[in-house]
Amino acid sequence: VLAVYVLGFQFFQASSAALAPVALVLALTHKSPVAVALLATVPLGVGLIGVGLDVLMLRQFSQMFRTRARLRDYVGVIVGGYPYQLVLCYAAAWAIVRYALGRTNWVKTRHHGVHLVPPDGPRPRRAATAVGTASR
Amino acid sequence: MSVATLAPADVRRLLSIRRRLTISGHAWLLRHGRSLMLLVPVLTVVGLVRGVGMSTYPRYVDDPGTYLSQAWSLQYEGTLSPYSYFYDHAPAGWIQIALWSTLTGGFDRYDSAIGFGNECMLLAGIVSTALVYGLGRRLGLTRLGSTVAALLFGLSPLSVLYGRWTFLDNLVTPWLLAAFILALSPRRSILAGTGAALCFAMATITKETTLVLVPAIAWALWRNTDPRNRSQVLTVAVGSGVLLAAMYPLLALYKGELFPGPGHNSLLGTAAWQLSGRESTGSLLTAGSPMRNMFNDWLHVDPILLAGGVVSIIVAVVQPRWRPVALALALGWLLMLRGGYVPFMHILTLLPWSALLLGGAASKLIDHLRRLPVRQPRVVATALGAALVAVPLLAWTPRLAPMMTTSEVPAMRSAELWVARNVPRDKVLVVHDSIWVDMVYRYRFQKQPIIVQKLDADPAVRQTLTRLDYLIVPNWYYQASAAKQAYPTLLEARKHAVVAARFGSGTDGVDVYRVSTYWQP
Repeated sequence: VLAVYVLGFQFFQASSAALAPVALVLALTHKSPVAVALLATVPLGVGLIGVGLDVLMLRQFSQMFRTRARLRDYVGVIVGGYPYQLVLCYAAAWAIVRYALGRTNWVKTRHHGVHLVPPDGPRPRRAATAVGTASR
Repeated sequence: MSVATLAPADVRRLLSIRRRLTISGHAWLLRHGRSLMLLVPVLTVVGLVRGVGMSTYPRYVDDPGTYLSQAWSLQYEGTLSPYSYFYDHAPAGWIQIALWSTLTGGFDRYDSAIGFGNECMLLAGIVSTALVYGLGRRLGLTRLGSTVAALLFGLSPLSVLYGRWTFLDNLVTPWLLAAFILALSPRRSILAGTGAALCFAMATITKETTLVLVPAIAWALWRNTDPRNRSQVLTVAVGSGVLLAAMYPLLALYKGELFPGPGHNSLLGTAAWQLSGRESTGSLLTAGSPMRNMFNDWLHVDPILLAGGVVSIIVAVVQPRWRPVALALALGWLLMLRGGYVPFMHILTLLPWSALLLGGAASKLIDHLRRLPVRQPRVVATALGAALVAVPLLAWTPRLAPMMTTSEVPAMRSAELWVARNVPRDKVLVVHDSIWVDMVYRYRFQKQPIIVQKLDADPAVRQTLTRLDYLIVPNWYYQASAAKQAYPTLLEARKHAVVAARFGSGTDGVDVYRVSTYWQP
């Protein structure tokens, strides 16, 4: 199950990105049976539970690392939850398009290297943390 | 990682799935074998006592037929009610009945819909009895104590009598018990907490009155969660429970029927009527109130479980684990003291908790006696145990015997069979809800029969009504004090009718009236 989740999630995410416009059109134009509408509400509820868990995690994070999470951090998690999912959807769709086109090289965002100490200073303790962790 | 350092749990991962299933099945049997040995005979006895004679014993009452007609309507017409659904109750109860009948062809297997309803209730009763045992174990009762609780619940004449009628409360009970069992899970996992909340939500959308027990289940869940993962468990559990329960108001919202308004039914409008508009049954403490009369009826059927349960609430004072269950029972009793409207099947909401607390208290008492510094504590304990078994047995046998042996057919059933044999299929019938499905589905009356309550309550029925030919309604409808307001058309039609057949007598009797063809409603 875990393997399917980890390896397949980007495909789910990408397909939800592909289906989102269809869903939007359907929601605005189609009159669905009540039962279908009820079922369609479930993901919204699950999403809300997810946001609740994110808030909890932020609280735990702040307790564990002794950093005070401010109110605006919580607001950011709550308000940003949905846009974040949209970004993930976009990224997943983009990744699959790239894969289909056979472009398997890294996509690197521009890197300022601010954590690196200038060359004339002492050597950085850890080398080359610039390698992205994104495996997509 | 070498094999030598693997823990036993990891070693299993190397085996095939089949082998693993065999091993865990074997372990489960070892762990629960003794419980199963106790439970199988208990459930067999309970099933027999509840099942034998269920087609003839309790007379037909209001409501079972309504729920069955709604289940039938869902299966064969795809709607929540053959009439316009007016949010009298949340629909999950008859959705479950309709699912079972769709899976098994339920309405085709019996010669009356009530028979199928009885089967559903028998199943729910057996499952509930098993769950009472399970919850007993989770509350820390011994196997003996849990068995006593299961027997008290399964065999109490109150439980057998009210458990045979197709009431939503009988479907609520297994969900509630499952919710408590999962809430008290020793694993304290998110999954168990979520399961508890989902089961409780199912109970609330089976019958919305279950919401009264929210404090009890919340307490049980809170008590049993570990501070380390409490916030996560509660977030996921409450979230998913609320989501499932919210399906009911959402259903109304999507149909545009949440808020009251002209020309349509509404959930909130009906709820307001149910909460305040209904005639109060008075408080249990007021002598002569309908509530007191109802209570006396219950007490007459079985004083042991009813009184024993409420007395055993005291034991929960010294047993912290039992407190949420005691709270559930106390809430049920408080409703009877409050003085609002209490339906006569309210007793069903008291029975499982009463059985658990009484069974628990009895087994604690025996345990204490065993350790008493008398000369032969075992003898005392055994004698008391025997008395505890003998008293219910002696008290219940005379009550249970007629329930299992009556061969007299209920008057309404006789009337139904008479109509099926003697009335042409194009006549318009006004029927009691208990025979509606049979008239429509089995005897195929072409003009759909009308359920008596809907005759005046449902505007859609009034609009299409051009004539009435037969009235098949129990006598208590004509005698009810509110009959003039509630059923004016019925009373008017009876003035223009003659008795065509008569079954039974008194308030439970059924007179079949043939209405004059010259009279127009």
